[in-house]
Amino acid sequence: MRSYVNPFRSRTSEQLAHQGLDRYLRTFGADALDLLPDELWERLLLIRSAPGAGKTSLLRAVSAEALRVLEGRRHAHEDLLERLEGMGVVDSDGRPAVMGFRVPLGRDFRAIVDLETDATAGTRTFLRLLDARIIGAFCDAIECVVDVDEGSVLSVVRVQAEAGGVTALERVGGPAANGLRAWALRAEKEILDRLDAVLPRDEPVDGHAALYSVRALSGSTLLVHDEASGLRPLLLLDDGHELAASQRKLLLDALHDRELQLARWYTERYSAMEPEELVGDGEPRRNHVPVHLEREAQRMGKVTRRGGKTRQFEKLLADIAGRRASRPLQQYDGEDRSFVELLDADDGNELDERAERAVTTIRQRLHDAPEAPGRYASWFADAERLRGLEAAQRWRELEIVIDRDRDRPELGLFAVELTDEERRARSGSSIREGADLFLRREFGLPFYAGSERLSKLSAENIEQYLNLSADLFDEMLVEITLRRGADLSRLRQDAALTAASDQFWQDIPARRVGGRGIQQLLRHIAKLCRTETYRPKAPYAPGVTGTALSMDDRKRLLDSEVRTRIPGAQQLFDALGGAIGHNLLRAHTDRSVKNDRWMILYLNRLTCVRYGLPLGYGGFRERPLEEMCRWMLDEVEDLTEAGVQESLNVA
Amino acid sequence: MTYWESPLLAAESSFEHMWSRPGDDPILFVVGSGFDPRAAAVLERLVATTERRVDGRLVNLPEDATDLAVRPLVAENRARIGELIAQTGGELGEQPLPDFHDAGALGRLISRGFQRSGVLDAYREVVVEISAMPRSVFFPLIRGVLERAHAATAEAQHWGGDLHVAVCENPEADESILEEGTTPMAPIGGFARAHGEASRTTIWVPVLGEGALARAQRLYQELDPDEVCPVLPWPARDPRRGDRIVLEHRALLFDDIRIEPRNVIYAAERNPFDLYRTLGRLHDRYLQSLSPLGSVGMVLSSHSSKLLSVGVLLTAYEHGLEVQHVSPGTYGLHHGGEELREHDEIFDLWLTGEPYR
Repeated sequence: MRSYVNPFRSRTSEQLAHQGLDRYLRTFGADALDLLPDELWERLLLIRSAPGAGKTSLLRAVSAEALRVLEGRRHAHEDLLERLEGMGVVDSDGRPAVMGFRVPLGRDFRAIVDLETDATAGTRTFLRLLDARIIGAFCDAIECVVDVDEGSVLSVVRVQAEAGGVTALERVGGPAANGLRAWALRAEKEILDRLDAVLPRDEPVDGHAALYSVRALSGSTLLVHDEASGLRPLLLLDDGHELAASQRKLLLDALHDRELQLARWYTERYSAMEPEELVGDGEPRRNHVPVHLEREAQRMGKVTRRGGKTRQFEKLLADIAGRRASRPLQQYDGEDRSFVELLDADDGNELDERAERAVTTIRQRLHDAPEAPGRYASWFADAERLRGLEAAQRWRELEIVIDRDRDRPELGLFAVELTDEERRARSGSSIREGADLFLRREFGLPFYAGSERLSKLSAENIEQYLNLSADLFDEMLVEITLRRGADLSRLRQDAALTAASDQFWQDIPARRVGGRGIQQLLRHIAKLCRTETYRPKAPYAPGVTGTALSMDDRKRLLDSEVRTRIPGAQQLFDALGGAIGHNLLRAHTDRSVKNDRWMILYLNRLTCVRYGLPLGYGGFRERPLEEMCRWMLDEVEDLTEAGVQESLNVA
Repeated sequence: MTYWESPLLAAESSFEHMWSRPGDDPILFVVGSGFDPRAAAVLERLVATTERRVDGRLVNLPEDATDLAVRPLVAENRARIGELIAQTGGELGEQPLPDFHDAGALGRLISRGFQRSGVLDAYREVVVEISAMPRSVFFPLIRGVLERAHAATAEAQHWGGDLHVAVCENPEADESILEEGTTPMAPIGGFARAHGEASRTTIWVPVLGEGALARAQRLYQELDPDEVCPVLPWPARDPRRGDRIVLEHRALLFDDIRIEPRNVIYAAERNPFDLYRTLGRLHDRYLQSLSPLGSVGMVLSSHSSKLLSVGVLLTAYEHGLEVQHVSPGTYGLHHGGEELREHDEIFDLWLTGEPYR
């Protein structure tokens, strides 16, 4: 039997060293660069998001290695080069204008706080190791983008520092690139050997009092064979949340220096559970450019970037999927349609039987109702003309609208027949979406299917989109293996996404520290959401997907003394921090609703599938802090959609 | 150089034979303050066998890394260990828990604290019992003692005593341990890579076990290895154990890694020296064949039993290899575990001292 490869299971941007940068760049959606603002070079660019939203991918796209590959294969990456040219990353000939060098902050730094003898020694060691990593990455980048006819690249490159950076440059190895490399290697080895020691070592620390590397590179010129190269260094600091709090503050303070003439981007995971911070001189927006990737993703399609229109984020996702799946689909099945076209293909009559059962049942319920039989006659007649899934959707929509209508006190007095215009006025896309959810729950008609809902399920998170697409592509491979073509029915899509949601849930304890506490919190939120979503009149159509804590309550929760006083508060604090940090809850802080300020907490859209909830960020029901704290102490029934899952016959 | 060409491994019956040999010197018994129901099993057997005085050193571990439900077990183990030590006329001292913010630093801090305390120098024979100690703690702790034992005799830090590593092994009980969450990947203290330029080729050798899929996946994602050689337990008391582990890891092995079946390595479930020899040969072979392409880095990780973990430790120590680790965030128990105790087996690895002189 032929062996197939799932293109969505290839690895993430953090693992591209050995899979081929060219292949990675071919699957990179150039539109993703529109997530970055127009201002890129003068001030610190502070990029925040949940894990998997694409922070590292963005940094990789401007790294020296990537720019080198792009320069060599311009014809294969024209769209990407065009965007990069607009940003000023490459020149009009596709040659690198900047030299991005990425420094991951995840390894070795945090432990320094514990392993050095005192805080001063810890700070000095941290700064020296960070200097060594920055200079080491800078040298790697030089080796990537500078060409020499023979011999070592570093032997012909020098850094010409500005007057204020000369002393700092001497501290990190001097102007010769060879010297910089040697210093970086030596310093890193000394520090890591010292940190890794399992026997006590009492020799004094040789550390740094400041971050010399950024001062040395500020306003510097790269000389190749003593001629200015025109390449500007771009420092890319990745995963700042991995640093200890004191280290992070030290670094951010250094990067906020207004005198710095060094392009610098910094990424970290977003956490809504920390006090409002003051970084730099306390006027953050003046000294840095904040970029919240999820918010930028939601704004795509509505804003311009570098003088051009942006496309919606959904288009970016479809583009990424197409880049990955097109070739395998063509190779394995001769399929010319794109991945998303296959998801949106017509199901034929597969759903007719279920739809007919739904129509019969709902029609009967409506006709059996005693009140005002003639009032809805034209609505019913109109619905009778529809067939299949469309008919089922209309009848369920009518049931919600009529349920609401029956509550009107004047109904008995004025039982006049309602027109179709009135139906439209009383209904809308939200009610129709709510109706679809009700149909899934009662009759097993698929809801979580199609490219649009797949995009929504990704929750502005590219990694989540790729994981879900991988599961759907697995199903396509099954169909291809059985020689039934790559089409994937909506039922199979719903079943596959439901299974993915369930797996996502089951994996929480294994993958997240404090996972069972997080699940406890999410179960309570999900229960609240289900109760509100499945009320007969669908008052918050299409449904509720979140809860909210007032900003005052949030402030109380951030106070450790308050947490000791309220039973369950510490558990709530831990669970909220973990859930937000791992993208299981989406937090929108300081939102103004109902004359108060709120932190709204939406369930991850993938979790919504398990609980049969809609996929919007709309409806929420607020709860006081004390009640949420009690959630952490009280067991709650896990109200899932088990019956619906069984009914999704995927045989 | 091979430190353990003719190693000494005592299991069950030979354990009693080994410890009934005559002697007057007191024994230092180093044990973790964990909740594992097997924590006192080795000590019970030792006290029943030897007539020598046994002094204890209880390594305090952070309480918040265990479930609330199992914390009473920690106190029970502590009391039982104290009782047993007292029976021999010995004393139970404590290795205090150091201040720490990053769990990845804890093992090194404990090892440094243990060495700084000077307690090791007062004994000729030491048993480090690892049943109730996480890998991130016992790897650096044992490494510290090995480094001193293998230091030149003339060096001030040289320690010339007998080091035993003992464990109560029980795969069924291992499965009852509930491990929650994954911490970021980090090298185990003392086993970071040889610093300098990064390796051109990375070979990852995970010793696979049950219930560790999430951690193995995380390591794979972060390491991005060129080659993967998973180790499965064979021979094993349950002959299907390896199959079950493959089944549990099938998505990682076959979908993500797309592993070469010939890369699978088998190591005896109950003989860490078998794993030590196998991994040592594997390292030599890769070094020989791949070094013309540039530096080769072999990275080990242990997801299996404590006993096999010692094989990983010894290989990494001898060959200077990196051991990467993703810890669980917290530990608990699926169920009591007491009913599984009938399969307990005691193992004692004699690592330095008399047998090697």
